[in-house]
Amino acid sequence: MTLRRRKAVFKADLVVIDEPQLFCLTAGKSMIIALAVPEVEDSEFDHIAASVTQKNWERYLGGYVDVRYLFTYPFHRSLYVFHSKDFAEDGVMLRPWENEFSEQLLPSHGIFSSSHTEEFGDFEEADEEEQLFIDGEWQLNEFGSFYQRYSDIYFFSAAVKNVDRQDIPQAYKGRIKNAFARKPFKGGSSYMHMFDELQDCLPRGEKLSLEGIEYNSPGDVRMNGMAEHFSDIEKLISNYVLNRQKIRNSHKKLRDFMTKHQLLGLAASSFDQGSAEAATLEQDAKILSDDLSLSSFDTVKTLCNNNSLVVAKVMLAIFRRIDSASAFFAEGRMAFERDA
Amino acid sequence: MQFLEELPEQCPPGEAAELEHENALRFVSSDEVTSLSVDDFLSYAALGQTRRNADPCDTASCSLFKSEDCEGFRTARKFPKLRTKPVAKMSIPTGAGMSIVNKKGHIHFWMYKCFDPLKHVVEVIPHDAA
Repeated sequence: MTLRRRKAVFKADLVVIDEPQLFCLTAGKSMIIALAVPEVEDSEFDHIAASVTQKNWERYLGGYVDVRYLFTYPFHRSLYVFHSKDFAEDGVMLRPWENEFSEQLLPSHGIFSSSHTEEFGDFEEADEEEQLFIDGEWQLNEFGSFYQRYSDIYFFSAAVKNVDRQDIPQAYKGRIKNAFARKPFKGGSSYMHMFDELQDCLPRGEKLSLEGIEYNSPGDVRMNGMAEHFSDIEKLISNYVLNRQKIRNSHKKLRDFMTKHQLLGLAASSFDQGSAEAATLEQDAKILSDDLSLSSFDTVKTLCNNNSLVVAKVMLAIFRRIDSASAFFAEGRMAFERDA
Repeated sequence: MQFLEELPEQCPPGEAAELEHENALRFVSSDEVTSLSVDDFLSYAALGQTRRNADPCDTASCSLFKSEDCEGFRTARKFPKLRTKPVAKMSIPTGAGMSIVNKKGHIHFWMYKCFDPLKHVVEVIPHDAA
């Protein structure tokens, strides 16, 4: 396949040290990142560039990947070169580069968006802090497990709330709908992918991030996100710890029904929504949702295309996460408030 | 006091001050002190370069770093074009010009006409040694 040149227009300088070292351009709807490089003899270029997907661009701005990653790792990237003398008022033609860039041209690891010397965009990060208090003994993997569960609940709760909000851009609502709708919901991987995808469904100003862990007895875990979502999770977990037996009963009822009717391993597309089981599934899923104090059952139903089997499976999945996260609080190893 | 370069209006900004920089670092073109020229210390603007959407006062400053340990310098060394450049270590006294230092150790330096940067180069550090 012949690689084609493409025109790119300057968007913004990102790092300027003596001269622009790193900047971004746009080529149509695509984001291009460009880096000044030493001019190697006969090379005819003094910049390298790479296309960046929207997802990776947000990951870069969020500090999750560095500049070197963008040039070397994603499968969906195109590489280019150009010379600064070819930059005109209306942009620059990028010449495709077929091979990987040599080490001489690549940045070292560790240039994150926090290294920017120039202000860029209006991507403000969530800065409302939640502090959870830890005590007792912890294994390292337990911190990971807790944060994973807490994070899943946060993104699920926030996404379901946001899909009905007027001030959320349509692009994010579309991603939320896709996270639910485009899954077979047959095996366990659908839930993992759904919760993973929900992390990309929130504006950056609402995303959860881990700021720090002080492992002491007592110590703390600090996260940044949106206060409203933190408050919602506190209510979910507090309710679970208080009403655990009742909630587990409604969970068992739903799960036993699904086991009896061989629905746990059935794909969503194979489920007959007109079947007798559908009404029971929806009823029992609603009871579980109410007992969990989830406020948006109807929204979840809509997101699941009114497929009762999918709704039931999503309820089981969110139950497992609330149950798992709540255990740390019930054990006394995690608390929302520090005892005086 | 007259500045070495012609500066835009309201430049340097109000928060700039006459500061001493004992071991300021400047990326230069040569490993040899005797091969350096004043051009090595001129701003982007003075070298006839323009930047889109840039603050003209920033573009008219000489970029320095506080030390090899500061975050700004360590980051700068990660860029391919700066990784291989030698660095001049300078001793800049109070009264040489006006400066603003940011929290990453980067210095915007607007030097006075009376200041000769070449006379204040203590040594040049080749890129392998930095």
